[in-house]
Amino acid sequence: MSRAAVVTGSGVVAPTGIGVDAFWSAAVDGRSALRPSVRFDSDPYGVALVGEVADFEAADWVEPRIAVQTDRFTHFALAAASMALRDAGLDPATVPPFGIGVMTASYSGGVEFGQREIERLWRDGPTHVGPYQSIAWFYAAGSGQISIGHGLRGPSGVLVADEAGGLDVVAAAVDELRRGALAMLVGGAEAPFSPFALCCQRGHGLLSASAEPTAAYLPHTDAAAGFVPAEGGAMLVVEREDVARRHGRRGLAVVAGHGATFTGTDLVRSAEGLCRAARAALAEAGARPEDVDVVFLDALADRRGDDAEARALRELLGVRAGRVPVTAPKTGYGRCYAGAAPLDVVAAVLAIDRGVVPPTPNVDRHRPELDLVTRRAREVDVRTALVLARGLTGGNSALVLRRPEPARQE
Amino acid sequence: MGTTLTAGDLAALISRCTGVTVTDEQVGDAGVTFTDLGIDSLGVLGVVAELQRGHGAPADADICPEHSPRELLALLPPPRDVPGHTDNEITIAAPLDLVWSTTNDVEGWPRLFSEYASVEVLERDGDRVVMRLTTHPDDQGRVWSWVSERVADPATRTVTARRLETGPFEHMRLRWTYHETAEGVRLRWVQDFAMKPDAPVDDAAMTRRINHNSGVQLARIKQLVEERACTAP
Repeated sequence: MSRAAVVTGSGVVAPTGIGVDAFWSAAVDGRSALRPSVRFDSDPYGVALVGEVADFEAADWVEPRIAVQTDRFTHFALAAASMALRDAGLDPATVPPFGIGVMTASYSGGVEFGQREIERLWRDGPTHVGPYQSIAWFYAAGSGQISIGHGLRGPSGVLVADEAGGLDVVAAAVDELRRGALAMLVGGAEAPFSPFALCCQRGHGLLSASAEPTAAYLPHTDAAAGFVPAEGGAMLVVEREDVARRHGRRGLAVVAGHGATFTGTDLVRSAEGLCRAARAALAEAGARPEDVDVVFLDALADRRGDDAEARALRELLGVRAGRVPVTAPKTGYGRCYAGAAPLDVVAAVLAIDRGVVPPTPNVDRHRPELDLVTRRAREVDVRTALVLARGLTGGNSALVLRRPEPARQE
Repeated sequence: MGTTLTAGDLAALISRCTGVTVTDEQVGDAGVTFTDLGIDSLGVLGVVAELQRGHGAPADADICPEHSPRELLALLPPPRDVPGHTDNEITIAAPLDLVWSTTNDVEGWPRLFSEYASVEVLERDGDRVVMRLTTHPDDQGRVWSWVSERVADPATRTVTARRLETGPFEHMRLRWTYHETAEGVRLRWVQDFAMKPDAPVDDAAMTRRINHNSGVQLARIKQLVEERACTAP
């Protein structure tokens, strides 16, 4: 990444809070939002607790004309995009046409909308399926509606690459900056809760069945028994550093490097995959493993998956593996698939900006080989943050974020 | 088929389907197209489909965003006073008094008809009876129940009935007549009805359903009454 790309703003829709401030204060306080769904009964699908965005009103963020033709995941993406632009102080109308685009990662698509239309097909027949189904289910609906809503004509697209795609998409957006775009909206949001959607997720066998909020999602502990699925996500504004500076927008963090590998469904092999992805990301950032000040974990809460992640970090960090603070704020709100990594990127950006590493909620007695930040947030002078993400079927990605250099006198 | 919509009805339907607030005046103005209203082709498709399902819009309605809601309104059929009408009969080889008494013994209907699980008389006043009818579960497991008022006139051998709880019907009126012929008693059922716009079936489907079921029930009644005629003292 020759020409620096900086994050200048972010927008969040998370079970622990809507908006960056609410999300960050909940993360720093280690608050948890794992509870039974109020939107439907998930019990028949083997899931007692979810990370649900309770107070989200689509009408607050999406005009009625768009709301009827879009799924909840798109409502989240639209809300997060609006917040990110406002947070950055960026009005897309002030960017030259074709200078700003949008990239999102997606995993589930519009499953809630889709389930409703399939119910109509089954109950009432084909003529009862609404035409908006044709666009509402689609993975690209988030990018498309953001592009339409904000008039973004630059490079745009959607990356459907499992959970790790949530990091890959940030790198894809940065690549567009390198190819000439001036600013990009990037991130991902998910709303993967309907009976049909949960049936799809049951297949991987990694969902926690626990009904006890403090015990349901405990990665890197002996009690690890799966993760709690969640909805929500984040959008970020990334810009060329020189462009942001020229317009007085502060870069909170530099997106410095990215790496991705694929090791298939055998989680044991993800150790090597994660380690290689992290090395590639650090190499691109021009950083060494000893520069890493904090790691945001993938935190699968599966014994083999956690072992592999710990092994990847031992391999990468060597003797420092037990001394580098690592954290997984998502244990407080669950894993929201392609929205999970963008939320971790927001948390990493804020950790750099504020000098605070949020804790791993509910996790207390973790295994000793990692310095997991638990119970309360820790003040850390974070210059370089490493974010890890794994797809459930084999993708391993790493992103390196760095504190921006102070502006030089020119 | 369904009833013609007013401009206001269509405005409300468009608003519900597309999320775009549309006024009666806009629907009434032939110069305002769907595009002018900010409704795209998928929105138009959804509106037209809704009108085809419940309001008699032709299946080949060719409406695109460059058309006006006014043009769409013009495609709908004019209203009819009697949307649903059925007329079924059977001749029963039995004495008129027996046919009359058996078919007007409403407490005996669960045996006489195959469709009723129970009949509960709520009011009786001479030849007028108000009753709750409850069906056996249909092939989709649904139990239907409603309240009817039935007035029998032994002098003219006619019965009129109407639904008081109309359920999916706008209205449902029935007229039974008994006519002696050389072959027996001709029992004739005439039903006039209209479905509500949001009913699960439209007038045409209900007409088919009633015609089918009337044939089944009349044949069963004929058999049961004729059996009784042979065995009665």
